[in-house]
Amino acid sequence: MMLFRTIKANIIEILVAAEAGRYRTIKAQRQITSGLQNENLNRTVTVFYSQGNFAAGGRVNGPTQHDMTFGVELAVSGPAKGDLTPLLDPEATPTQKAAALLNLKESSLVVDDSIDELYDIIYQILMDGRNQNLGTTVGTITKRFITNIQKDEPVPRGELVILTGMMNLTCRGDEQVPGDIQPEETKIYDTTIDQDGDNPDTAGARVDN
Amino acid sequence: MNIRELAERDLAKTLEDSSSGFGLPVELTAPNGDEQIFKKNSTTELLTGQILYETVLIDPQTGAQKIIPNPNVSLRITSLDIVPKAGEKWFVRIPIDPSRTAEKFSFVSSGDRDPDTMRSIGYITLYLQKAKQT
Repeated sequence: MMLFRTIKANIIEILVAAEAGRYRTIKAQRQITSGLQNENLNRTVTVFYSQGNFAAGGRVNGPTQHDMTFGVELAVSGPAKGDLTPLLDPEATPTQKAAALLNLKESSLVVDDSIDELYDIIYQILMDGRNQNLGTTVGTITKRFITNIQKDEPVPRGELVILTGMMNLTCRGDEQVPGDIQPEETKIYDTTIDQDGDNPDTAGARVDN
Repeated sequence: MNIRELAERDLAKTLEDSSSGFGLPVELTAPNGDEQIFKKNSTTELLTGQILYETVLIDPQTGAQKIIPNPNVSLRITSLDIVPKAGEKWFVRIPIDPSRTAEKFSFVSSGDRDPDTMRSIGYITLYLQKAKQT
């Protein structure tokens, strides 16, 4: 298996081990997620291999330097939040209700804070010195860095606001080239020597494997 | 009565009629804290409006239709004590099911998505976000 596949699996393992109820790690790249799935602490982190650059001009046969980029996609969603007690209390005065409404945080602010916190968490996990080798042996990969963070526009349509973002994690390693190993087939060699007038089952040579 | 006035008057049937039309009870709290439960100038007639709970969207990636929870409430402007404006934060309580007696849940209309004011016909649509207690 090529190194980038091993690295991807290791990154997922590292993130799963560090979840502690703060987010969920998705192991495949999904096209669509519902805001309800990512609400509050059900924030999701998806890891996928997004790009690779190979050094050309090296040895034709043998290890090839592979600069790998992994996409770490974050998705959060959330409702508006605040102290609703005065707003639900029929005895509350208009002043108290107005104050509660003023202090109520719109969904867009809630999810913006939430995704910033998630960036913080994931960055610390992936850039931790203990994860420098991303689950491989020392020297297998080098130049492990998170090179950029990007935040998308919030999607305000719907009862929850959805916000997504991306972090790019890069590293360098060598890809070995053992060649394509095809799955084994069961071959049966069945050769019979037909003789005129004789049943093939009773005459001639037959080799079964 | 001209056609515009007739169309506005018809909102009493199309938006507000709760016995044979689309009307469901709506409770509003304005940014200044004033609450409205009854129609303007009434102490008996509940404020009602047309509530839609979902929207059909076309997923830009696949082209497939997708139904998303997107509650919104359309209210007759002349029934309102205060008319919501863009950028304002309103507290809105609507029945969670399309029934006059269903339990009411709390939502917010905020600057994340401004209301659509249809002055030509005389109604306003508020787009609602879930509101949760911290």
